[in-house]
Amino acid sequence: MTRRHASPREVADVMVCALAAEIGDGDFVGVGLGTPLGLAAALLARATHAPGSALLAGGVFNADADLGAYLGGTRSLEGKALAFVSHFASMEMAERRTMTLQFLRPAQIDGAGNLNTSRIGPRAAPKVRFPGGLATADVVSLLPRVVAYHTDHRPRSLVERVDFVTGPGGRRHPAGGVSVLVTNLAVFDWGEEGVRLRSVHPWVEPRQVAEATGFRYRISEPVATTPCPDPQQLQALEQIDEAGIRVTEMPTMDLRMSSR
Amino acid sequence: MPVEKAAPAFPSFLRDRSVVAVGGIGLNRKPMSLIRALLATGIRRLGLVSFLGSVDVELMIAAGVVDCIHTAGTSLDGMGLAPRYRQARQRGHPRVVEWSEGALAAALEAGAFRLGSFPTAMSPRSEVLAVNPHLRVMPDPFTGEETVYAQAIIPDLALVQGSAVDAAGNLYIDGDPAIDVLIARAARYTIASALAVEERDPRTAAISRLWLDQVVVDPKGSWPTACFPGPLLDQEAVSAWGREGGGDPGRLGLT
Amino acid sequence: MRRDRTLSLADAVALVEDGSLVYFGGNVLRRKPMAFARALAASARSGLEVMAFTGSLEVELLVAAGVASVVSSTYVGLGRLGFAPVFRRAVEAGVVEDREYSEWTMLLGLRAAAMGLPFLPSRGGSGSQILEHLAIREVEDPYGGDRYLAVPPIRPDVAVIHAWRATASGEVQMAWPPEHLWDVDVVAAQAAKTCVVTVEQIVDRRVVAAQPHLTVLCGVDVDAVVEAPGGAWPTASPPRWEEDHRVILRYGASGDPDCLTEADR
Repeated sequence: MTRRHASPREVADVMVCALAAEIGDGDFVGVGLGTPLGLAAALLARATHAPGSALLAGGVFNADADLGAYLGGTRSLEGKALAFVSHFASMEMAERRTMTLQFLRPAQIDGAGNLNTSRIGPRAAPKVRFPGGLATADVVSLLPRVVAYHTDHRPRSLVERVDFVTGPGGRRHPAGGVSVLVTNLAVFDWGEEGVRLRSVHPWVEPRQVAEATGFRYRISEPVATTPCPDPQQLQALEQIDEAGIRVTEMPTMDLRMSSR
Repeated sequence: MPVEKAAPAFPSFLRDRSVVAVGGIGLNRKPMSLIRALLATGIRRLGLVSFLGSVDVELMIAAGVVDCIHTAGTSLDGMGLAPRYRQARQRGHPRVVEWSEGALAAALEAGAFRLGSFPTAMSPRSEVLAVNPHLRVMPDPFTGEETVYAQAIIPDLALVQGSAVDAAGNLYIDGDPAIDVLIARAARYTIASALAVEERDPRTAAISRLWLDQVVVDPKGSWPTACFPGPLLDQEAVSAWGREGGGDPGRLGLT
Repeated sequence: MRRDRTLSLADAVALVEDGSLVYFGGNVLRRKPMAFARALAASARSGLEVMAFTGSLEVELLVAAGVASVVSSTYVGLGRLGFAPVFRRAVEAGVVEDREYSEWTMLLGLRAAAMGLPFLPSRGGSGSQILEHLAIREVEDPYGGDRYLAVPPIRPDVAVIHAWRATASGEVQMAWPPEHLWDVDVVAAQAAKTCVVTVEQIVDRRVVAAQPHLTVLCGVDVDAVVEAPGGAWPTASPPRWEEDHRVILRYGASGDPDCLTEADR
């Protein structure tokens, strides 16, 4: 019964729903540059199961707006946002843990939950210098929960050991580090016993995940299947992102970081 | 966040020995109605933070609910010394902790960060250090120079007075906003009192609704202090308080 | 008499000395002081440390011209177009020194300098390899004994930001609604030894006084005001100009800094 194929839109929708499932009604979600799927997830959660959750994205607090307007920045949100927040104030919210959750999109992640958004190869002359980690190093040790996502699950992205630790995984600091990773194939989570495969997406075999993953992880049989969006979620996604911006993050991933 | 016309509802975690920070500056914009409502709860032995205090500090001392006062200065401005505060300093009770303005702001910044302390630009040779146990000297980790570290203050409750509030709950202050936004950010719970509900240009808001948990509307909330464009300073009431060395807190509206 | 802080672009660029730390304001493809960056790139300066919170085309110009030997940033890229090609190639070839900051380490460092403090503490950032090349130390809280990161002050020799308008005496206004990271520009301006503001227009003080809530910097924090209409092109300069996508796309595809010269406007 396992399907063999999913369209980019179906992949995006399952990922957005898996990310949104991490948001509870009491959460305050911060969304930074270059994580449109995380933004879509926060908007979806507010429109469905977590109407009480709060969202701060690009200095804009709880705007009544869709994904496109949010990505257009403050000028497209005037009259729709409840508040505009300075960057210092938003970082202060993270420092005192008013903000509870952020989505990050690393170029590499390893089994210890270390995130690399900086570079591949040696520091002096790297093979690839990514645009930069922004607040990655800060939020993993400030926020109660960090959820990572990656749209191109393969051994060079999910690695045994990251080339550079921009944001350290759990146990190296008081906050938990990354707690969940959502990819285009599966969902992993981190607990006391390390990283575990939580579920595979409906069109994916656990064997495919094993082949595409460079780090070791635990499995509890039988492996669960990531839920597909229900009709209410699909309808909400259509309203949040009629233009399908979330799908543009899917294709031909070349380790490139995007941003707004 | 509700904008209430009624009396404020204080958070359930507030109890004896809680720390309350009061906004305003000197004889301007003291949230006096909120203080009077707080006194009516019977909660006692409070820590009080008043950056630049006046009748707010006087009323709370006179009501006998304060154990400790943190301030960078308290007086009746042009109307002389604040009698109850002066008495407290001379008798040692309630205890007065003297701060410099910068160090008190740093303590509140540390509170807003939920860190234990913040460095300050204060001179390590200031004698304020001798009278304030919340200021300690340590070398800074880079140059080794002696640096004053202010211990964090996290108010359990902040009370602020504004000119107006809009329907969304943003607070507007006409005139000097002092450090009201800082105490609102640092506190666990913040209640504002506004003279009126008005729709204003939100870009001119002094304190965003993000930092406010409750707003009450009271056209006389600042009495006897001034709050533009509403009540002027009630000079008669304040100077009588100073002249007669304080006295009955009923003179400051306590019933 | 009220102080006149207006300078020509050339005179403002002359404030930058060889080896200076020069901070550029703005956020990725918005509010970048491009006119200043072009003039600086064309100057004979060398050995500059170019710092930007989130850099883009200004870093590209200065690296391409060889005047920058260090780039300090939390991000240098072209937003949705991805990599900034010149910066990426220069780092990968090892021809510029790459000092990556996290947002908090840069913002707290600038703020410590603006406040005249020896450092600012944070719980963030511990365990990140980013800290290895920054002068971050730990500090013990003298009260609870917790250990925090101590971010030292960052004091740029010159900070350049691009804003909407200003008086000749340096009261600077930004448009509403507030742009993302506007406050980082202001903190950097206050942290710097010399602050240069390029503006779309120098206006009479009565224009500023009519909307004082839009003022983000007072003249006392500003050393030079340069009238540079369109001075952020091809990045956005609210409320006047949106990003010039045609030029930015062409640059992203070609990586040719000649796309960014005024002649192509």
